[in-house]
Amino acid sequence: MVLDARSFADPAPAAPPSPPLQVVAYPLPVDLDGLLTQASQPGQPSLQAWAVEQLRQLVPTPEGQGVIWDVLARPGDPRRLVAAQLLGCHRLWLSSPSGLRRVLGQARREEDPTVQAALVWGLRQTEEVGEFLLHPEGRVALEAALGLPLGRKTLAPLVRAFRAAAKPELERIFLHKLRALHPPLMGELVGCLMEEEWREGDHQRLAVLFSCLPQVPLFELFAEERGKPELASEKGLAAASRARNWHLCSRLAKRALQRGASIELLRLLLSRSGEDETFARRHASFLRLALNQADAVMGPELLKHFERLTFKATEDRLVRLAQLLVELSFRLEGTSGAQASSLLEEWKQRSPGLKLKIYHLQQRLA
Amino acid sequence: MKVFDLRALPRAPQAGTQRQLLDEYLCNPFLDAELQELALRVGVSRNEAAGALGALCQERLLKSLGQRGYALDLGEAPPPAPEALRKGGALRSASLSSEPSGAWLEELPFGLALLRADGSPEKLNERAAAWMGIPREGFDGVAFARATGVDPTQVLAEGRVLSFTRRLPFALQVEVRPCPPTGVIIVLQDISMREELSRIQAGFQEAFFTRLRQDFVEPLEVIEEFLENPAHPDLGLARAAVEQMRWVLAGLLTDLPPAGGDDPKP
Repeated sequence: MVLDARSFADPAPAAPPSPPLQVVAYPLPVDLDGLLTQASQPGQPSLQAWAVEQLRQLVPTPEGQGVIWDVLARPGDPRRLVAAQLLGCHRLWLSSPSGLRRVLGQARREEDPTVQAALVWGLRQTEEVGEFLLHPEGRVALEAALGLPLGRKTLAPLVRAFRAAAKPELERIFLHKLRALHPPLMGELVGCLMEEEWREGDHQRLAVLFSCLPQVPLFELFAEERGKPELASEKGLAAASRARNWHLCSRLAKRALQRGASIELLRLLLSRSGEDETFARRHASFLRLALNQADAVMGPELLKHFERLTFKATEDRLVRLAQLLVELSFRLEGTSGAQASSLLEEWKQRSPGLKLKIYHLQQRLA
Repeated sequence: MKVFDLRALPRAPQAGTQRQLLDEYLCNPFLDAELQELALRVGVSRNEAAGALGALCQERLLKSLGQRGYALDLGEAPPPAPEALRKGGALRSASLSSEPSGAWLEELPFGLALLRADGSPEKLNERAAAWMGIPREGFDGVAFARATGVDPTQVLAEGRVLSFTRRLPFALQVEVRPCPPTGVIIVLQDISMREELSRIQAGFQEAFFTRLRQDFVEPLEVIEEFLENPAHPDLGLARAAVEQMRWVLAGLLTDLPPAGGDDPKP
């Protein structure tokens, strides 16, 4: 017997067709004060919706801003939440530093967490929200995390909040934002990471963070050490801690890159290895490990890139690329494997010397 | 006999996500967030949030604001009460203004349009509408994007000034300047005269360089050959080259060659 239990779970069973609604004419508020009152009264939903829509459409003038601030200044006023949300909706105050300071001051001293969260929402996309990331009230911290812009001034509070590991949802938001980190800010971010004290238990979270960061600037910083801070000249305990953190970050970043190299990074590595022999030698083992992780999806993409790189290439360059392609071809199967083999056969036609070298590579004699 | 608990069977897809999204909007009915931010708010993937938002929009619980994201759909609200605008002057309408300041707006020597963050028009002059070829009453972010391919709300989101030129009906420079969070300013300038001057200048430069190539480069090559090998038989040719250069220089500077020099050859 099959018993449909869904109908028992539904709080309201399907009702018979209702008679036409009776329209009740309410006296409509005609000023900002009245609209705020109406919008914060949940008793009459249609009128509340009307008031909210009016407040969304109408922009408070300087006098209107005064009314909003008066409401916010009264501690027991039930309209404070709507007033704070209205401030966040029409952000004309953002155009002046004094306006920004005023809202920030109100958000700092606000005691009602719901109103405080609304004020922090109003501060979205400003650097000032960074100071609320470590707020004990979850809703406030969440609004701060969502509204945090990534810039030089906000990276330090972000890293501090990440290290504090207050809530998993905040960490998820941080990691998402860091995926789109502007490449020039990579050095700044690592600088902030070096300033913090990382415990053994944090290493796993740090590894996750590095796996989310844009890979090309990460590679340039840690593998090529472009923009590496001067650690040797610094002395003292703080310097020792910074140096330790650099080595920790370097290890975790390299591991993250090797385990999950993106197609952009692999393309860069292949292009540079083809052009520059020193680069190819320096990063040969790194590239080999990264290529080993290249999956079946990336294989065809990489083959196309190999094909592009060898257009009018010199023999030296072809040899360097052949070393990589032979290794890749060992792991590719099906159509991709056949494509790699045919590409190698094509290269063999360029010269007898190249043919011999590729043959040796394929036989693992080189 | 088998007994199934049908509550465990699939229910309406993404019901939980839809409820979470609605919760966010009911907590803050002024929220206007874009897709990715909403996905982050409720902790779901972008695709899942997109599906749930689509369903909510279909049910007319939310509405799309284009580039700006999604807002609570509160139905067809009547236009703002005129009393609300008058009493105390605490509010002002966000609709197209018909105040007397329109007079000075029309006097401006360039086209000007102010669009709000959602792309609706705040103010514009006739010149802007005519130059863009958009009817004044239909001038908004969508119409501008259709005419130029540039979405003003996108420019506002990116926060960078965007400038480009148009060829029709004549050379126009269009500048879209974001003023977050209020909206964007669109300035249109007639640059047809500037373009004409640039063309004349380019023509003059081209003629000048062509003459330099003909009258200097070749003679210099002859002189260089002679300097490399003073025993070169064509000393006379090198002298002629020097004379030619002196003559050209004199012509350029509209001055006579220095005293003591030979007369320029025709």
